[in-house]
Amino acid sequence: MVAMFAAACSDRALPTAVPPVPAGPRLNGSSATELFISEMIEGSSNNKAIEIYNGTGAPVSLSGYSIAMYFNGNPASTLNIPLTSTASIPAGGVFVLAQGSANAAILALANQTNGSGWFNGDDAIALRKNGVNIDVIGQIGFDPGTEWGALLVSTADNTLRRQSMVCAGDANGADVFDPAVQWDGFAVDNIVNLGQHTAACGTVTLTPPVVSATVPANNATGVQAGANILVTFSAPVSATGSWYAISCSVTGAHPAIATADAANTTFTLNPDTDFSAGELCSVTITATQIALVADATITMAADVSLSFTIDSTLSCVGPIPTRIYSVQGSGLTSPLVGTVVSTEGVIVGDYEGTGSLDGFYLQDATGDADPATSDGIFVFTPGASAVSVGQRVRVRGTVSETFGQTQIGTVTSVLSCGTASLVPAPVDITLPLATATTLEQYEGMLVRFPQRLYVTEHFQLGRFGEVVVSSGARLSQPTNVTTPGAAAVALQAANDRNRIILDDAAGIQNADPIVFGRGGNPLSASNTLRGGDYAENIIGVLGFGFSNYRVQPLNSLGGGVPNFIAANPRPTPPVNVGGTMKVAVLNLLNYYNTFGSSACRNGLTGSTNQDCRGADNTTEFNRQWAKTVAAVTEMDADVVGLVELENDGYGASSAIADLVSRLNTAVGTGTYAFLDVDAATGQVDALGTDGIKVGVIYKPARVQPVGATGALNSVAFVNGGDGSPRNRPALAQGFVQLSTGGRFIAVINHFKSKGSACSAADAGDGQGNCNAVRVQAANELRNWLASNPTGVVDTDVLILGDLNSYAKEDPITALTGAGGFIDLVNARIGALAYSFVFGGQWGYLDYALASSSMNAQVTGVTEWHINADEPLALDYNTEFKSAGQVASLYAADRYRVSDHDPIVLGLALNSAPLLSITPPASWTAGQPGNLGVLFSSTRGAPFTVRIDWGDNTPMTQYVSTIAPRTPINRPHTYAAGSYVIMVSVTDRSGVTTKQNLRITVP
Amino acid sequence: MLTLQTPMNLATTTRVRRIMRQTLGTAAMAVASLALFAGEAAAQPSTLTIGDATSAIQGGPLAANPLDGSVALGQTFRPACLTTCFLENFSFWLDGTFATNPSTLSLQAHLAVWDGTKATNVLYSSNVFSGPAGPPQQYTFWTSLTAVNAATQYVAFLTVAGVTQVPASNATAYFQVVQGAPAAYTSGFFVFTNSGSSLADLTSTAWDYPGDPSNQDLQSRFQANFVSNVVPEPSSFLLVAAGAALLLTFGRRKRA
Repeated sequence: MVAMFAAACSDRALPTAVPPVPAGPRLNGSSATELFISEMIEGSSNNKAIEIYNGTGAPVSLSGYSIAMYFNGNPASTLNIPLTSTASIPAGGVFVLAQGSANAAILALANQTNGSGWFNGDDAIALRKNGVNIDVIGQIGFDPGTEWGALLVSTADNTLRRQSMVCAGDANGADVFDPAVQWDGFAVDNIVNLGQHTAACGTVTLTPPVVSATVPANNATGVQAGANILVTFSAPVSATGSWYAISCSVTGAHPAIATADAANTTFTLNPDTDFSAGELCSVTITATQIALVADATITMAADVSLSFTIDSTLSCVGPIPTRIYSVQGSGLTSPLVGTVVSTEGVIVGDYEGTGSLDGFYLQDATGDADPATSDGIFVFTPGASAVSVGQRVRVRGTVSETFGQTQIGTVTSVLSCGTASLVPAPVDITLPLATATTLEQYEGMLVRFPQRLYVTEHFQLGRFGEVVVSSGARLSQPTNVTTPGAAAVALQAANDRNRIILDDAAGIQNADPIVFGRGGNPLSASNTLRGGDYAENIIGVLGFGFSNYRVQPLNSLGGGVPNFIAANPRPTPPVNVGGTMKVAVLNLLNYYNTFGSSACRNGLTGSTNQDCRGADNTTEFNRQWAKTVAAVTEMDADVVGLVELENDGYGASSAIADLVSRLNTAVGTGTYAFLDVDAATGQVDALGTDGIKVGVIYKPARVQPVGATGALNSVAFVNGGDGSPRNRPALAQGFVQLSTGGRFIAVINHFKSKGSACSAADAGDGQGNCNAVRVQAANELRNWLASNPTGVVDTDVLILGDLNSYAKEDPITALTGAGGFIDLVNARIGALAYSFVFGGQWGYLDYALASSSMNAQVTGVTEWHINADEPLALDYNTEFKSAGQVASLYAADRYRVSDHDPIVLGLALNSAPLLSITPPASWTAGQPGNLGVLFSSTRGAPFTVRIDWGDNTPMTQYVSTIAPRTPINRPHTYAAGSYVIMVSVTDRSGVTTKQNLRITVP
Repeated sequence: MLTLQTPMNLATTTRVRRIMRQTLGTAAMAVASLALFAGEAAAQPSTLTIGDATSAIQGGPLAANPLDGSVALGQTFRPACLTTCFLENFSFWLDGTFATNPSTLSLQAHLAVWDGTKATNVLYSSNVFSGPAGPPQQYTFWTSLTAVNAATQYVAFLTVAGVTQVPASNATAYFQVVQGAPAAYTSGFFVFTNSGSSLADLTSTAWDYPGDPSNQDLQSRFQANFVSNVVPEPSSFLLVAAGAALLLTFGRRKRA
């Protein structure tokens, strides 16, 4: 029999027959020789009191007496309250000690109060005399959990009164305590007898037993069909023969198994079969079969009868009182909210227990064939574990809308009716949904997604066990593939209907294991779950919680952990991008080698006591840099643009120096070097005073910086029109490839993110916060580059970095349209390119934009998908992980180094001719001096050399069929003055190197 | 014999060297004279001119790689006639302004068929002469009226030997090139090779630079004169032999 939620017991006195005629007096031991506790009130709130009785026949002074309390099984008393030493108790009188915050009725009867925290039902209490326990309630040194005893005769939420035949305290506090032996129990807060006590010490009159209580109480209604019957007598009795009879209006007579408690006062009758819904049952106790244990000749005076009605709704037979679809109704909320209903269904998802959803999903076995009404519902049964998937169950409880989900709560009954013979088939749902509210009609039901559904978000996978899937493919960020405004808004709406959350049904965060990994196996560093992986025919229960519909595949009827297929393989080292050198750019996700909530500062001159944004401690940092070093060394680029470096200068302990040091440790001393932008520009904090900055590192054996280092840190660029800094300053640096002499200019950027608001509100066109700030940054950047901030005479420019704008957004258009730059990712990879996922939508924020001449020299472009595809849970962080997961989710490899994917480019630079000019040791006005010119190029002759003497005389030109071994001299005669000699050499392929020489002729 | 040069549309060259006189044997001279005479009524001279003194820039140096090898520089072209005609002579302009020891350079002019990457089938070679000194001069080479075809591309070029180091100590010299001015020539390019050591090399190995109109668009400063098809029939040969001197004089006078 299942009876999970017993109704409250009634302590109402049973009607009895005419009071019995007392039998004659019986000796009951000697008179009292010492005080003892005669009443204990453990009532609601602080309604607590101890009554002490003087049965000695003479007044007793209370000097030396105290009440001690032993809390929670403590072997020593925690609270000892001396009784008023000047008081005394008259013979036959009592002394009441009450808790100081007890109710007025108790306080009115108190002789003494005490305001400390008092006992609960599981605390032992002792009356002491001169420090020696002389009467103990409970067992000292033992915590029963809640109470000693049961029902009314227990130490919790009851009043215990010493039976009248008790004439001495129980001085042994160490033995097992059963209140039924010496105490009578009364309902909570019963103070009827407080302040008085009657004992029959010396002699006692044995009175016939009576039925003092029953469960169910007489005339009770709504009794569970599977209920047992409890009969409590006023004194220990022996019940013999046919002492009871159970008879019901439908099911007739019920034999039962009768058991007695240790005190022989409470008897339990367990009927042979369950009662039937709605029937009236009666129980008769035959007086002559109930005799006192103390004196078998004294029997109950008269038969006792009680009757009760079985709950009409909870029976496994008969029609279902209220169908689930009627509870759900056809609207967003139930029409029966607040109503107590009884219903029946099949368990389609079992999520009992506090570690799960604390309930289960129940679905009507047949349904009503009305698609507008759901056939399933959630039943909230906190702490219970009573059902299993596939059972037919009847439930009684109250309908509510809780956190947006229709449920049956305040459950009073759950009746299992065995394994269901008819179970509902899952309802097929296909994405995209017709409308945003389509799923409401399936809430609580067993559903199936017959499509191939792709992993489009796993941000919450580690902490909350959620994976978002979509049909057709992963979802694109609208502004990555279509124009901002109406088109993007429309695509967003379509995306919103093409996604569903898969949930692990865990009621806790940071569950271990994380169940959603590839192949139905838990997530680990080696068993990932990448964006674009897919599963088919997912079966689960559709619930609603945390503002979203969500599918619970685990523990659902016919469901289970989906088998995710590795459709998007993990990349190995980047694909060959060709060319003779590589350039890469990577957002590092806050590479900080300083840790703490206020240990960092913004640049060398900015705010102090700033939060260090990256690793929280050395442990995390060791995990972070190992991954970073793995990724950067595997990219093996000659120039690497870095975004999100700690902004702490360029000293030996700076973040950029730290990274370069670790890279060189991994691949060889001197392999990488970093650009000290402050030294190169002669500024302090040239790259701003935000917490983070951009940077560039390079392989000095293969490339060298050339020209001036440019830092775009104007207010117009950094603030982007706002009142405070938004964009991180941009860095421009020319590089020459040593093997060919080819040059290009790298520009590293990190525009303002969409993560927080700027002065202008989000326009709602899909471009998010701060679009205007980014547009201004793009325009300023474009104009700045047009001014040639590096002084390098080369049109080969690469704009690299995190522009925090998707491909179709205004800032990109400003650079690719009027700016003339070519979006290499778009041009070479196409519309499906991505480097980042946010909100389950994929796009790219990370760019390589090439000038026209640069574009012609780019041999390959790849987005290295080592990061965005990988779950957050696999990164270096140790928070939100169990100790085991800190190890199992981490590997010192290239995956989830950051949240952005890097870009790797191959370049075959036009090898500009090498040119050197040798002026004479000195110029003399009016005298010819020889200017030597030496040149070469990997592309060879012919070379055309032009010398503009800078004094308005004709230019000298010649065409050489060879690269000379020594300078070719040309004489020129100057007048006194200062001149700029401009020399250019153009090689076979038309690539020109120019060089200027300023001279003064005295 | 000065008269032999005067019929041509020689441009404003400061001085004309007559090295071709040494190359023309008596018989060849007679043939040329006969052609002029016999074609008096039908001969249609035409001239190909690339560049001028204003647009010219120094080309070269005439030098070699490897050391003491030979260098060859020249111009590819198509004959300026409709079908077939005779190349009467061609000219380069050699510049001795910055020449070093030009007298030690051994130069020789050649005409050959051009196959796109190298010379083939050498049709004419001049006498060897030494390098230029002083300001640019026109060097004209008489080819004995070599028959040429408008459908064929030819190369006129100089080979230079005796270069021992570039550019300093021994011998360097220059000749003139032009770059896209005054109007780009589209039927040929400035070409050169630095690695040929003999005519056999130059006709068997692709030249270093076969020209490239897409980048620098370099041409040699160049001139070539053609006459139409006036080759005498064999039956007229006696007449040619008998009246050679007279005819030469007549021809000159006629044009004067």
